[in-house]
Amino acid sequence: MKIAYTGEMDKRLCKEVLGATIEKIVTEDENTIYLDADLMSCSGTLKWAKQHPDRAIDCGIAEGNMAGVAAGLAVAGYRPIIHSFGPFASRRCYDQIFLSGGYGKNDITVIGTDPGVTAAMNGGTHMPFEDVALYSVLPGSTVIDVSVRLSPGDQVHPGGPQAAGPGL
Amino acid sequence: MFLIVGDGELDEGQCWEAFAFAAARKLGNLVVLIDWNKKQLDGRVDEVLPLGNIAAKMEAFGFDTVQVDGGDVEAVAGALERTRQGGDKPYAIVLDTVKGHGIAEAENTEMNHSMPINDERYARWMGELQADLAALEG
Repeated sequence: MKIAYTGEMDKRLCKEVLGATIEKIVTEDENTIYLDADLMSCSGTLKWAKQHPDRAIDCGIAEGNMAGVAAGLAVAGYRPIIHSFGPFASRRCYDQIFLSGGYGKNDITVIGTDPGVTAAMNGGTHMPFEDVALYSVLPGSTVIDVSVRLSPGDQVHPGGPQAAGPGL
Repeated sequence: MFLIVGDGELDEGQCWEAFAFAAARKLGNLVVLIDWNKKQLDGRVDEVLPLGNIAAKMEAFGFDTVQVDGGDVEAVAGALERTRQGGDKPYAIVLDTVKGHGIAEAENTEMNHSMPINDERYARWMGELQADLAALEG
């Protein structure tokens, strides 16, 4: 038996864990491509991404297009991982994820960070409360709501349109 | 009707859908002010997702477009005054600006799209702005 959680707070910032996890996954799996929508600074990936422009794509603040690009990469045989803040990784790009991901049966791993009220500093526009609900009704999806005290590294893995996220 | 948008914000396709609509409907009472400060969170606009010549794009989308020094209040006022004449085209004013302008520490920081402010920094930066204001009023 392995004790996964002892009640202690992990002192690392979420973005440190997430950035290191993404870097590890993309480094180990040459088919994986990481995409972001001008929030690499928040996912802890910016420095690494700049050194690996062939493995990381900053799509700019264009989440719908990022989902489309991800679907295109999946069609081409890659395993795309996309990231944005929770509301933009769900509401804003939902139709593209639904059609090009779910309906088209293209695997896209979606990471939405700064869930719910934890986005307080950025205000109501950045607070998602319906992200899990939206992805839960997307046929074929797997939703993983990550606890802040567990490493998201245990949760993020390609394979089916996923929302690994709101807890990150 | 005045809309104020950033340059990084124009990455979103929805902005361009709205611009096409505004021109198609001849919204001559619409003024879009674009803060062309050349930076977004992950770095320079020209590196994250280059937008090219924003003024030329707005013109091509059917906007009556001018570009002014966004730090020159009189130039901005003049550009806004022009829009009073109405017409059958929406207006775009591209403000050529410097991010963090007026606060040396912010202006000289490369990654200055988002900078945390504590009490000490707030007091220091407000002091700089107040001194500028006093000089203008003096």
